[in-house]
Amino acid sequence: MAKNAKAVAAPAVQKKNTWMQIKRDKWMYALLIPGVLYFIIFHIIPLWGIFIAMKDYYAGVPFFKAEFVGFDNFVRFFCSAGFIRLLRNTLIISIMNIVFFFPLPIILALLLNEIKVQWYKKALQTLVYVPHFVSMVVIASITMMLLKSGATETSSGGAIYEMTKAISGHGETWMESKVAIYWVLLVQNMWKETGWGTIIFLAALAGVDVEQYEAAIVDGASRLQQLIYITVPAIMSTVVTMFILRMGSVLNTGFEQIILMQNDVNRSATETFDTYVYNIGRVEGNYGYSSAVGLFKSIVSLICIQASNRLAKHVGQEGLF
Amino acid sequence: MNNWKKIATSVVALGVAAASLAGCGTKVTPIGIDTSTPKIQIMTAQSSIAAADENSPVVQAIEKKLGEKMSEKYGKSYDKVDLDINWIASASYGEKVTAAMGASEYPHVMLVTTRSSSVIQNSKIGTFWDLTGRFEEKDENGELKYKYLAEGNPVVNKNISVDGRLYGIYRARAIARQGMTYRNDWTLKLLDEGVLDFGKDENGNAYTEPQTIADLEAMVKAFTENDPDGNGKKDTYGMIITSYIDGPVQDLSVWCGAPNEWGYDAETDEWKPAFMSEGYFKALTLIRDWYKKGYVNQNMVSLDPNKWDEDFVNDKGGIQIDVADRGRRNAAKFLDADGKPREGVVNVIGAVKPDDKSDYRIRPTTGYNGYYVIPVPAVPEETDLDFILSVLDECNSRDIVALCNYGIEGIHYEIIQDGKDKGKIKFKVGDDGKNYKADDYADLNQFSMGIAKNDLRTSYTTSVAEKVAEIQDDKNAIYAVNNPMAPYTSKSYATSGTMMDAIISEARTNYLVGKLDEKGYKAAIEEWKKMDGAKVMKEYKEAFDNDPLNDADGDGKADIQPEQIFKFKF
Repeated sequence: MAKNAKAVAAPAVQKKNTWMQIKRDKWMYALLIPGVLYFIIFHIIPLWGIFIAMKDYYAGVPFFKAEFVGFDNFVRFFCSAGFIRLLRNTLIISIMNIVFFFPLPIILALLLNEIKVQWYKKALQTLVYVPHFVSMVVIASITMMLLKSGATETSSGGAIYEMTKAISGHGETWMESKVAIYWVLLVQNMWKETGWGTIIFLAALAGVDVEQYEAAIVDGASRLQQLIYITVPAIMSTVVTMFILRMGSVLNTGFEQIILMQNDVNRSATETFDTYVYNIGRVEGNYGYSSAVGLFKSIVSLICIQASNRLAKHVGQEGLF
Repeated sequence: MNNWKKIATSVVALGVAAASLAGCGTKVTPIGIDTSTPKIQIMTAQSSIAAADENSPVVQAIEKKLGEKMSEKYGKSYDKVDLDINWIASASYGEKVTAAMGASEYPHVMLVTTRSSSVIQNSKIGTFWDLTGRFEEKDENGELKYKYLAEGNPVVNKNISVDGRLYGIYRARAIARQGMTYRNDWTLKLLDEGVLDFGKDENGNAYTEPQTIADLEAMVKAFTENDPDGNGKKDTYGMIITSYIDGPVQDLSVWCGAPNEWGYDAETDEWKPAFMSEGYFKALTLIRDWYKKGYVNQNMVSLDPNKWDEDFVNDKGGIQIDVADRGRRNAAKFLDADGKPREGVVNVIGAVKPDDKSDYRIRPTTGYNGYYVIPVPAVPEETDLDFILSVLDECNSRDIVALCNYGIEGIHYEIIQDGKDKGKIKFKVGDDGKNYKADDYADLNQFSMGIAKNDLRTSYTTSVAEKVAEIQDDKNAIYAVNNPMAPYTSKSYATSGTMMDAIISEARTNYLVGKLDEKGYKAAIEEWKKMDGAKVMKEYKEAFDNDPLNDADGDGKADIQPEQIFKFKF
């Protein structure tokens, strides 16, 4: 009996303690209010809008007039011809980015880290950031100017088009190729974001204890050995964290870049979940269906991020949460 | 003290924010039919760089003229009817319509260019005024209230209908628009030499124009192998096809006896897409064969459609299948020593027979390019609707159409007084060689509907141009193989249509260049069917069956009308 009473009392005490704590730090908690309000107003309240994914809802139709269809939108999406193709396109673009683009900022950061002349390093670092601030619209126009074919047989096309023409005899219109467009997208991404991506790795590199290097030098380690045995392990947890975050957005191919580079010829290769949601939702006005597609994408992202986090812990890294 | 001030400002700021949020609700701007200058907001698509704005003398002339007409009709004294036109770039127009519907903020008159699923849905729930039967209404004197709109083509009105109801006023386009442009001089030479023979008409006169698909086949062959330009070299070929393969294939397939987009298969009681039909496959096989034999340019898969005319005007390729208007433009490119267009080099035909026993066929357009809807939230009153319809009706009158298309007489154009072109319109040409002050009426022809017939004609520089006008005349619509599914939409097609189309267009291209055989092409059709095609077919059939317009005899079942059932083979 007494035991029981104690068991009941314990949470009550704890509860009281928490309450006391809150009371004591009430001004601290007051500071939380704007942040909490922000999340409630802009992130939690709009969540009820997810319901339109279960309705046959179109732009301009009053919410309560739209027919409730349950999971019909989801079923229709999974069973549609589009689904496999969208998944394929999205994964191709995403995996190409992970394989070819993801290691680049790490390599660049390691290279920059090896530069001992400080002013040169700083200048170079600033320079590689610049493309990040160039608008995607500008990059898309530059790409098109480089790749376009001549309007007529006599007028000349873009520089790259003319080069391929001079080499192979016939010009390649990469913008209209269902294979080359993937590489165009990848190279654009590399040019724009590699420099910017180094920031986080450079910060991690700055945190490496200098004494380790000194000890290694005393032990006779070469530059390469220092790199492999000190630098890389030191930034490994950052790399893993970044990788988890990247895996979480494996279905996010970005929207702006693809919509700018898309045309009627390459559409069947470049239509991804993001552009599809835009085309069906914003252009076609089929809000219900496109919400279902968007929601599906979010759920997959959640699963991916959980899975890669587990995996990271499994192989002995810290993970994200 | 200071605190109170802060609180007071915050409250005011919040109040302003709340008020501006409240302001986001739908607000109705009345037209003001009781004022002297009623104002109609119109949202429409812009295709040129700078559309004519309110400062343009042409727009002002139209507004004044409309004022006069409305004063007469309603017995009031209007100074003018203010046309508040909001021009939206045509590339993103569909998006703007969706956005307007999403926010429920509408102009008085809105152009709809694509029948997206949200447009259909909004029509169904009554966002736009139902105009069914309204154009036929008569006033107390027994005269048509909207006499120009009443002239609307019933086929086109059906094409823009939703569940058999009419919600818009269409922008008319030529129904018979497609045509085959070919080298007339080459053809006549080969006819002379006896290489070609198009047969004789009922009076025993030999045809000088190809009549059947067989004639076309002979032409393509002879243009390549029989030295049509007579220079002794084998440097010509039959037909020019660009990466826009779809256009020529569709025209050719209809000429070969395929349906236009959708056809009824009586054997299975199914509606099937054209690419499943025998006629379509025959057209594909023809092109495949021509491609293999070199009768078609070997770069057809990659040739930019902008370069379609190059080989034609450079005496290399002899035939183009596209809009008939291409013939008019290309005829003007063959110049004689004086820089004047040479007559007789180019000819255009619009209709071809599948074989000697069949009638001519043409692939018609849907007959419209978008239509104007009148949103109920912006125009809640019946009286305002009547006024707007009257204004739009008068926009189809001869004088307003003339203003929209040609500008002001005496400034932008003049009427030819004598000669064979008497009474026709001739644009004035400015110092830069372009039409004089064309900016004054730029894009007003896009605003104009052109539903009613009129006698306005421009004078043409070549006889081919006249031939084109003849082809485009609606009297050719009797040969039209209409697309019976034009009014309908399919839910499955709306969501995965682009990707389904890709399956067929890839298979088609591969078949044409010989990378795929007949079995492979048929397999692609099966794949199309398996993905969503069967669903799409079913949904279209349902839509057709449920449309009250298809049930003329009122037995509750849709009739397969004879003109829609050219008896297609699948």
